[in-house]
Amino acid sequence: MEYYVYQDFMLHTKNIAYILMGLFVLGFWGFWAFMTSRDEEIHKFPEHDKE
Amino acid sequence: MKRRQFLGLLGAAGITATLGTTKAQASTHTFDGYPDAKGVLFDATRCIGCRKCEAGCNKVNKLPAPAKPFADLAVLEHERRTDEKTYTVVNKYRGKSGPVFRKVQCNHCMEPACASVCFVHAFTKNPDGSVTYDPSVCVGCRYCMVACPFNIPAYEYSDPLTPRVMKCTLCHDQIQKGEQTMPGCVAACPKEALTYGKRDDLIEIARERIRQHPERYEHHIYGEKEMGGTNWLYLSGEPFKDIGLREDLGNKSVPEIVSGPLSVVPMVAALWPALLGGVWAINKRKEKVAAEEQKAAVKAARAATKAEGEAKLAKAMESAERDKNQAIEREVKRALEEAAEAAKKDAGDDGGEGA
Amino acid sequence: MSTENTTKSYMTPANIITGIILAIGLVITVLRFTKGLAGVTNLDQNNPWGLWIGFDLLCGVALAAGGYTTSSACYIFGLKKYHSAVRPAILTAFLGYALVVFALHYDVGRPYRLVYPIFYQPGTTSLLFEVGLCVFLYVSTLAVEFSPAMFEWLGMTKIRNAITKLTLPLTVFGVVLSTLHQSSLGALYIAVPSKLHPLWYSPYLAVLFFVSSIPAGLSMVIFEGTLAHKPWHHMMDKTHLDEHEGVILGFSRGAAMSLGAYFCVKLVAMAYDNNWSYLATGWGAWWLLEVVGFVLVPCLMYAIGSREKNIPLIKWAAGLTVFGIILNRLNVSLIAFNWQLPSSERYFPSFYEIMFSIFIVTLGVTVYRFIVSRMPIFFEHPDYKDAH
Repeated sequence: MEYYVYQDFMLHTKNIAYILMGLFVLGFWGFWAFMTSRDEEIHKFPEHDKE
Repeated sequence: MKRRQFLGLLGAAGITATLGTTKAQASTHTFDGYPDAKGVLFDATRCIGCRKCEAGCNKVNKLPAPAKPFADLAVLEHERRTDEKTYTVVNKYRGKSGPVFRKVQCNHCMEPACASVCFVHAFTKNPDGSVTYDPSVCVGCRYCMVACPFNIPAYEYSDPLTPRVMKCTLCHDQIQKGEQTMPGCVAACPKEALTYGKRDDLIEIARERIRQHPERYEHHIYGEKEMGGTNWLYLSGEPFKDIGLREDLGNKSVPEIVSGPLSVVPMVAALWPALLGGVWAINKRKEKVAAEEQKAAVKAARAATKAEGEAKLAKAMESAERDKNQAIEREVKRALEEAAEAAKKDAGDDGGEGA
Repeated sequence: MSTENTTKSYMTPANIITGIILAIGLVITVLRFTKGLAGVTNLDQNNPWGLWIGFDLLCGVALAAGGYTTSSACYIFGLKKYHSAVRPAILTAFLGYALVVFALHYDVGRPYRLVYPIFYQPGTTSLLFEVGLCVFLYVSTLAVEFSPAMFEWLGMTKIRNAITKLTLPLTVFGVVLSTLHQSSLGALYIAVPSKLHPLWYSPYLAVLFFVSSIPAGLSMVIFEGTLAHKPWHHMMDKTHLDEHEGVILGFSRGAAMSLGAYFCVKLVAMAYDNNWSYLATGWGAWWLLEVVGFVLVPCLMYAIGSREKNIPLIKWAAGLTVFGIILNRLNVSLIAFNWQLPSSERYFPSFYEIMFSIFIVTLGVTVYRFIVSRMPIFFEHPDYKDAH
């Protein structure tokens, strides 16, 4: 689609950017959980500092 | 020259065709507005301040009747602005030779500030050049009013629950429906101070007027470039700042101005989790190492103590053994000595008795 | 952990004043929702944002920054000795944001549509959309971060333990959201170069707002800790009392450094737009008062205070910083905004607008008092000791 107005073009790209941002945040969580899933106890993701 | 040759080569090789030449390539694309967008040219040298445009606007937009009739020209003595019941007003300014008048209304920016800042996308730039507002999604945050460099949108402050933002629509609806062929104000103007037409044509007309009467006009079309360009254009015989049009707004549109900060937003979402997760992991690792070092130290200390204890024990055992052996030896020795002595005694006794 | 407050008579002077203010708030509520904003505010067509945005929203959000600064210091940057400061800071932040959202219901024209930007028709080109989305998400995050204190109080162990497992991701998420909306609140004004005085307008407004939110948050933790210390001394456990001084000293160092950084950005923003000539005007004097009197001076006070372990000096610095941040936000949103308009068209808040802001603050203090005298905020719940 061709845009004549920069504002309309921005609306389109920012819509996509916000969807990507949501995916980043959720994806990062999953990625981290996957990456650390075989670590010993202390490296696991959600551990609240246990003494 | 060389670049062109290179591009030519690319074209010959068919690479351009492979990569595609989509029109909406943003980085090099310019946004020049809808090609058939319309606008209005206002010529301040022709305006006589009759307020007929105000009346025409009021009528076609079915706005409430004003406190004072439109025929009353005394209201021109005070500078006014648009409000929730008035989409357009005419103001009187003192010119070099007599009064000058200037009409105020939405300028229908090519890149509207109101549309850029609206967080429910209630404003739209239409192909006909108008900027319109959709009250069915408006939350009433009034950021459009804050952002508008021309102070145009007005708000129904007295409405407790359903206030709207009110502003000129360039008679978008009426023209779409075919009720009108031009905006109400333009139709009402008796002096042709307003000209409705394609924006590109209006710029040509304006240039032509300046060319034909260079002594009559300021050599500038206000709105051609201001704030990224507006669909409402102005010609004046007085400096524009003297007829209430700010000359310090710049040519950059609000969408362009805010594109920088907007571009940073996704960066925070992309980079912060990795950065903060990294900081956390480094600290956790430090803690782990510290804990392990502490553990190891305790273990080593314990081992050292244990070894020492064992050595002591062994030594003690050894000495005990030695003591025991010595004691046994001593006992054996004594027993042997005793035995030997006893034997000697016996022998002596026997010999003595027998002799 | 019952309180003396509930058994004592309610007719204390503080409670009477609170009652009067809450009653005025009720009157304003009725007026706002029957006569519209015109009935209670001095807003007009040229001044669409008044005290309710300038103070309730901008200052409210800036001063609630203690939540993300404290929790990230403790959980992400590994400064465990600040652990006892986290819960009070999270509580203040949560109440602050909740009240910001509450106050917005009065200011916007159609409060019943406040979710439209997120769920109905997002206007993603607006920085206000960014602010709205982040505040919506962050107030939810803060509610979850705060909830363990409530569940401990109610004795709901299972759900409490499940939520404390989420502490780290919640903290990271909170810092992302805070960075975004603290800076975007400043970026709101990047769209209006023609209306904001050049000394306050800057393409760096987003950076300025974000950087200044850090000392604002740290100072509020010190300031609020000082205020809470006397009335709730009996509620504070040994850990809290032992760590209190360390929190003040550590936070004063953080505040000194972030205020120093903020001062530098302020200067760069001024020099970058070549605004030196404005410094000789009345606006310049006002700008210098803000930047020297309420940024540089408290920065030095913090530095000296943390160096000499001078707690009273630090507390004064905290007060000055909080005042300075409020001054900055009011300058950007009200005082230096529309500076070119003739004085007759300038905005000054109405009596009701001022009373409403006082009402909002009072409401916050009242809920705060209710919560800290019941829930484990200043002490660790005996059943969950050493559990975190």
